[in-house]
Amino acid sequence: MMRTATKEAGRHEGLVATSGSAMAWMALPAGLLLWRLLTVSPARLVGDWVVILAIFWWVKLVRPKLAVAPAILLGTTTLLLATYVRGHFPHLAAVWGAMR
Amino acid sequence: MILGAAGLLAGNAASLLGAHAILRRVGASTGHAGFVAILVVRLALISMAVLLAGCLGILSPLGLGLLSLGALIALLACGEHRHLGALPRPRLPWWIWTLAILLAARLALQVLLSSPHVGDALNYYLPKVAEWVRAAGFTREMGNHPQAAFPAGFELVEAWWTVFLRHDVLIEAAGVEFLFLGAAAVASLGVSIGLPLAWGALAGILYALTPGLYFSATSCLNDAPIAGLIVATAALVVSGAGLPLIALAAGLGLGIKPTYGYAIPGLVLLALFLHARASHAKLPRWVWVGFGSSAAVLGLFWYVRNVVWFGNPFHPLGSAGVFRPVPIQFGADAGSLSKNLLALINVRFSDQAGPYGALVDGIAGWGPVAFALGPLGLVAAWSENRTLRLLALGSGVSLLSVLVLIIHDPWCFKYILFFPAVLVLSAACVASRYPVLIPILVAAAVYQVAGTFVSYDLPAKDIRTLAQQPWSQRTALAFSEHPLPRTAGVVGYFGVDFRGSGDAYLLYGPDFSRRIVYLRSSDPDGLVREMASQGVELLYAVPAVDTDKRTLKEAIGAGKLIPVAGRYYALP
Repeated sequence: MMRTATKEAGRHEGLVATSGSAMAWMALPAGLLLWRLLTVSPARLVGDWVVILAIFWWVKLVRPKLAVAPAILLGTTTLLLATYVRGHFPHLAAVWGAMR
Repeated sequence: MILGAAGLLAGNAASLLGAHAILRRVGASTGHAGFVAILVVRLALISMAVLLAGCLGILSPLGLGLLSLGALIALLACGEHRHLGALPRPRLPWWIWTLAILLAARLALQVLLSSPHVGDALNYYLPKVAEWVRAAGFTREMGNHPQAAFPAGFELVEAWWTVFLRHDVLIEAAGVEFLFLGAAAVASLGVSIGLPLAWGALAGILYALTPGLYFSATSCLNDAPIAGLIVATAALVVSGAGLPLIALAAGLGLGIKPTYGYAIPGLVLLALFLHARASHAKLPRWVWVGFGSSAAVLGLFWYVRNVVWFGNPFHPLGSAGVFRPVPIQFGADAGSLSKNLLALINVRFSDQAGPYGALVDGIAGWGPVAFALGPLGLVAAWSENRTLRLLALGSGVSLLSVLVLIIHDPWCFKYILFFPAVLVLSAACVASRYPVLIPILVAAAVYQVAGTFVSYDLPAKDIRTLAQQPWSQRTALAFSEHPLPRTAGVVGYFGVDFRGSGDAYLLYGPDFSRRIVYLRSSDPDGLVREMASQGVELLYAVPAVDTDKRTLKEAIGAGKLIPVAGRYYALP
């Protein structure tokens, strides 16, 4: 189904695809984004992995050629890794710190 | 000790050679899951050997040693060793071998330096192993903890690594076996989804480095073995290994913990998706009978024992009031699914609530590779990789079916350590296709390597203490909150520690030389009488329920027990 969506999207030169299946696939990341916007506090939203992933997913659907662009992949994974490390590193540092 | 080590070597050689011989004769098409199949059959063989020895009362260095030696001689006489040359040798780049060897060396060091230290293992898994080793066979005595009656399939493998030496210095190797199994299974799945062998192997290594899985495996917990077996079952299903072999893996899993069964819906779905590739139709009848009966014995033994002893296969689950201090969910609960899923997405997936540890307290323990590259890789590969898609769907269904069946508590995600496998595979998939992501993958992998040196539940100062002890006396009792105040040949154990801070297993000593008497009297006179009649020199008391607290208090109040130190008491 997603292949249909990306084909459709490609045919429309990056515009949002209009077929039923494409719309259904669009609805998933859109739904995820909406859910997070409604439930996660604005302070957490920027580093929220669901938001980052949903935006990546959305871009991949709407702009299939852009979605596989190395810069977008690198940017998304860097953001996700930074989110992880920022949250977990204090614990790792504490465990390593206790070794001294 | 030297004879014991020789027995252990003979046993391991015989089980590996035996597994290879069986699979060679079966002729099942396991493809690149061949190594997974050998590990599964080996684990089944050693579990069956310990089960048999335990039932016959020959679970001793001599009994198991002779059994192993006999099997090895028979296999060598049949010329099985000559067929080892036909084993496929994976052609992997030097850096994969280097990484694998370095990590294996680190694991070996962690096994040697560690001592069982996590409460669950000390209170209700390992006292059984200690009793079996002391009695050279299975015993009715399993300790005071109600959960001691749970299935003990993993304890069979722990007993294997313990009986020969009559010492627990290698006991963590049991968990490491399952860690290898999980890594091999992920590598096999990697090849199945179309990754080059090197990338598949890397995915396997990264899965083994999943922090929660890694520390569970090196801490004598049975959750890593369950995760390893779930992933191994998936690898066997995907490779079309045939139903008998898959049933054997399932038998091993169910015999270890019912949580393996919680994940079965996803595995069945995966098998249905890929049923056309199964090769079981061609297998001879003896394979069906042999593998099927072994799977049934391994999977059902403990449940049948519980029916015979307690009238309930899941004893003590379902008994009113037993789990008031530590509740365990018995059956499905939509509320648990909702709470677990939201906690996973909102908090625990990012591991930000706490440090890595064997029980993944308040976190998922999946690590940065799964977090930063897993979901993205899955989305990126979803439309292009059918096998990965089906694997993800199957794993997703297993994830949901486990989450609906487990209570929501700080440690509940130790039951879903199989799921990072699909995320790690997705990560490898996307990084292999887009080399620009390799630095991110490397950075995340380095973080996981750094994070799996020391866990918060066995901090560096404790490892240092363990390392300073002679290996033959190495025990975590040395840094327990309640160290043994003086030498005693017989120690009484009274009460149940539901919070996991009891030291039941450690009291036996690393060489199982100390006799532990579990005391169950509900009145002070009975307790004292029992101590005297059993020759108890010291009493270790962890009264958690009201009757036990009252009994201990009255015994002390009446001068029938004298406090020695901490949790220890003695007769006047």
